[in-house]
Amino acid sequence: MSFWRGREGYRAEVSEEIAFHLEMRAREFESEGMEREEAWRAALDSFGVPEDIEREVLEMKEHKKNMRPVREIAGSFGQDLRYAARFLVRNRVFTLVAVGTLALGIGATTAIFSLLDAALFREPAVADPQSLVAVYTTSRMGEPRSSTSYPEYLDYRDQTSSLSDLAAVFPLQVSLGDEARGARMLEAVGVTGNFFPILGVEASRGRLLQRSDDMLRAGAPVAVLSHDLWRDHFGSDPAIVGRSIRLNGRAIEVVGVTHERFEGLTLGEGADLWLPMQTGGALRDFPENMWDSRGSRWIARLVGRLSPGAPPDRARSELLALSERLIQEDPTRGTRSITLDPLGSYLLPLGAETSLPRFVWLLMGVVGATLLLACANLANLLLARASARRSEIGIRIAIGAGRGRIVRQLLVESLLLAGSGGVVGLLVALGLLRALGAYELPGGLPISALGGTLDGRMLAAAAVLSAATALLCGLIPALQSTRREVAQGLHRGGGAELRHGGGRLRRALVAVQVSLCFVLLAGSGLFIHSLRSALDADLGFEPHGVIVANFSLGVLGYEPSEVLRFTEELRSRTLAQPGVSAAALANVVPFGPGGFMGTFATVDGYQPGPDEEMRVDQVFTTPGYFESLGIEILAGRDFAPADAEGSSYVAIVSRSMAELYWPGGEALGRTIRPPAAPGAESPGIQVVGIVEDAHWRAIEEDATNFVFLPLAQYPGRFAVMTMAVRTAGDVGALLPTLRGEAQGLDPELSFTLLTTLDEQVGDRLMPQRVGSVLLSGFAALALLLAAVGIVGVVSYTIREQRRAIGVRMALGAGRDRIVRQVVRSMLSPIVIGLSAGLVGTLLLDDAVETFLYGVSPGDPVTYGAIAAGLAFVALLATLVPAREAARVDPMRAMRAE
Amino acid sequence: MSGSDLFTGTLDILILNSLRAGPMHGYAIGRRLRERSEGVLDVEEGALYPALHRLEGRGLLRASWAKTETGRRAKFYRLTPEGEARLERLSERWRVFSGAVNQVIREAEG
Repeated sequence: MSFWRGREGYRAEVSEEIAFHLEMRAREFESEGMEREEAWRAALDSFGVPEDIEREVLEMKEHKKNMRPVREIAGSFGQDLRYAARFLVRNRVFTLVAVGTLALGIGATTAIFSLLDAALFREPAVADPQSLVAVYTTSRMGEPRSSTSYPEYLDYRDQTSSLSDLAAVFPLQVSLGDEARGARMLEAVGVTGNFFPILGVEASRGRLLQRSDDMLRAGAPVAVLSHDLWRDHFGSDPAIVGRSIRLNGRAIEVVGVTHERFEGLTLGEGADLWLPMQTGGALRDFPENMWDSRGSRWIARLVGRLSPGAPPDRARSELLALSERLIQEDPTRGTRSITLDPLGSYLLPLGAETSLPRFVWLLMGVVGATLLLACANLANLLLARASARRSEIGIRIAIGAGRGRIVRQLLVESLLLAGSGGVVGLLVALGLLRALGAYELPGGLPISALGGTLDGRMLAAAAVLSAATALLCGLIPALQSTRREVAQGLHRGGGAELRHGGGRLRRALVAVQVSLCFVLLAGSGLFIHSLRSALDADLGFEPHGVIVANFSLGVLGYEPSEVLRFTEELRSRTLAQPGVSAAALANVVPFGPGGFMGTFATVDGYQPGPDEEMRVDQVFTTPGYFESLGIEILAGRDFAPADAEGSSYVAIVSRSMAELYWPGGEALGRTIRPPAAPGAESPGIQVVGIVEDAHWRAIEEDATNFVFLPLAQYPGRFAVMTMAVRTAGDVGALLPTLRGEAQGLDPELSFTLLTTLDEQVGDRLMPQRVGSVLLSGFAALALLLAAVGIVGVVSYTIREQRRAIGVRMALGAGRDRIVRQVVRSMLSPIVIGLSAGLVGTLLLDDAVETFLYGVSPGDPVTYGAIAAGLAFVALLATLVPAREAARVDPMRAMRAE
Repeated sequence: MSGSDLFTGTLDILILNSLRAGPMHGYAIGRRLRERSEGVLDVEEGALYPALHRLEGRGLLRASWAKTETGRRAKFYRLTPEGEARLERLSERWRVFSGAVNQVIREAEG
């Protein structure tokens, strides 16, 4: 008996047997008219993988030799893996689509998750960040997270028991003098002496600030450098401690350098140096009453450490109660409420506290939906493939492979797929992070500043995600195909029905895909629509070709009269440059960083209503301002050099202000009056011009009352001055020229911002831009995935039903009828998907509304167009394989089984 | 009777039954199954071989190498007496079982 001839002999016999079979089969195909090579390939295809069969036969023989169970499992796992790999290589298209789908889903999710993690969950390098809190007060005007006055800070610090200590923080910009390289603007933070002790941050050199540093107002001013500044600007000078540096023209002694890992408390706003509050105040020329007045609210944030065991809620209610008691004692106090943010992660930039998390979560939702879609697609592919392999699986069961073994085999395939998808997905994630680095998030935070990188946790997350996907997508089809085989194999041949359990699940997955796709398309549609409206919006000014440069003279110690002289000199030098058609200086330009100064006015001849607030925003400008910005002068004249100190006061008003107060159109020549100082009579200001309304702060803002006043009539120091220059020439070439001219006037002057008005406006649209780019990308991907999914389902359904279709056609059913039938079977999942998508979109509207302009969520036109487009693509994806099916020759289709 | 037992039986019947007509090599058995079994063995013909070897190992078939009509060497299988007895028993069980199942299915459909 061959059994005794030894393993190798037996193997040779099995090989020969298989070779014989293949050759016979190939000849059979050849006799049907195939070329020899083609016939061999067909024979191999119908046989399966010869090596696998051979192995299986040999295994069967050796089974009797009682392998150890553990070795058997380990060995067969290796076999499963080899078998799976071979299967995936043989089905290249399937593998490519599946791995690609997974990689995109996992890659996008991982990248966005790492951004989310960097933006919202990363801890600053301080001791026990969990017990730190940031405290903000709500002003009398009701702005939450507004600033606090110094005396209030002292009250909170000294009269609260649930906080062990409380520090005050305010940011300021200072100019670092450098004879060799010119002045450089630095981000400084003024802090109370207890700031570093509260945080528990260590110095890497020298010492950090201590309480005694800000006790005295006249003492020696000191500064602590950030590790980055020390390294980048001072070349890691080992003798830095004790050295004197020049800040805003004053000598300040460096006492230490912070630890390398400490980058401040605010995300993306790395501080360059820290100054005691008193030193900072001196550098900014704070008026003396800043320290004593409860009305001067200039402290940006309070940072406190909770007492051991005190929960944040108790600290908040204690601060609130204290604040209410203090208001009763002194009604002029401004604080109305307290906001207390636990500082488990970095603080967000002021103004981005609510929009940034919303935006990042929105992104997360988008990629989550994409991943889900990818999973649905993969599950569909696996289901379809499992069904195509049904007879193969049936045979494996028939020859004695247990169901568990088959399920395991299918799972190993899924895991292999998911593993490859995960690895490729990581590459996708890295690419995506790099591509996104150029964009900014709401709050002006560049994505690159988040430093979103793929660390170990991201890798782990990707691995878990892949494995979960594999199990989820692999297990259901695996169980289903093995179970159904048992139930249906018996009845095979009679199974000409158009419905299967698996078909139902697959159609449900199509519905899921269509609905997710709808949500993504709707989202991107809204963002694109919104971006377009914003770009097309009439701003009231013409940003193209305008350079804006911000600088601060106050910090350089200029007296008010010197400010005026300096601005006039800079303006005339700028106007002399070739290509410059207009130039002006002002305290503010549209979309700029400077704040508006609002005031209340009375208007001669206008009687305000009982509750009417006569609030106007004022802008101080030099002549040429409207020409520089491209704001149209509707009536009257621009300012002239003659509108200076000593001559009669003049003003230019915005169109909406003119229409409000002088509806007859006779604004020119009328008089407005600013609020008068006590006991003095308010000087009348004559209106000499009317200009077109413009959007100043935001594209979505309504026109408000603006009054423009000549800078020369109000000599003063402004925190920030802006120069606006209109040029017909090359903007890029003019930027360094302007810098040079300014530093020729004062070597310590540096521009805090030198950019174009186009860019300044464009930056405001960053959320829309990022939203459009990302959502469009994901939506395109979703559409592709959904289409692939539908084509896959339809083709596999048809493959399953070829016989049924053949029978019908043989019985006289026309091709159109077959196509109609196939399309009809897909209609309900598509319609269900569209409806579910619409509902989902309406539910998500709230989340996107903040970021939209000129388009309301729930826009029927956008949604209708998307539904129609998606339905078209879906039906097309159905129609193509359906028509293919109808081309089948009925006799061949029947014989094929 | 579990699912896989049932199908082991099914394939066994098909193979054993094919060999009632006389000795045959694997390829011929495969072709016969393909033609007569409405495609059960259509996807991977090779899967037949493990079953043949299993049946041989259990003494239901005997294999020997011989020449085909065209003079090629091939491994021929034939039924052993045990195989014939087994086929008899399996066929009987199958008829009873499939009759019952058909009955149930007809009821469910009707």
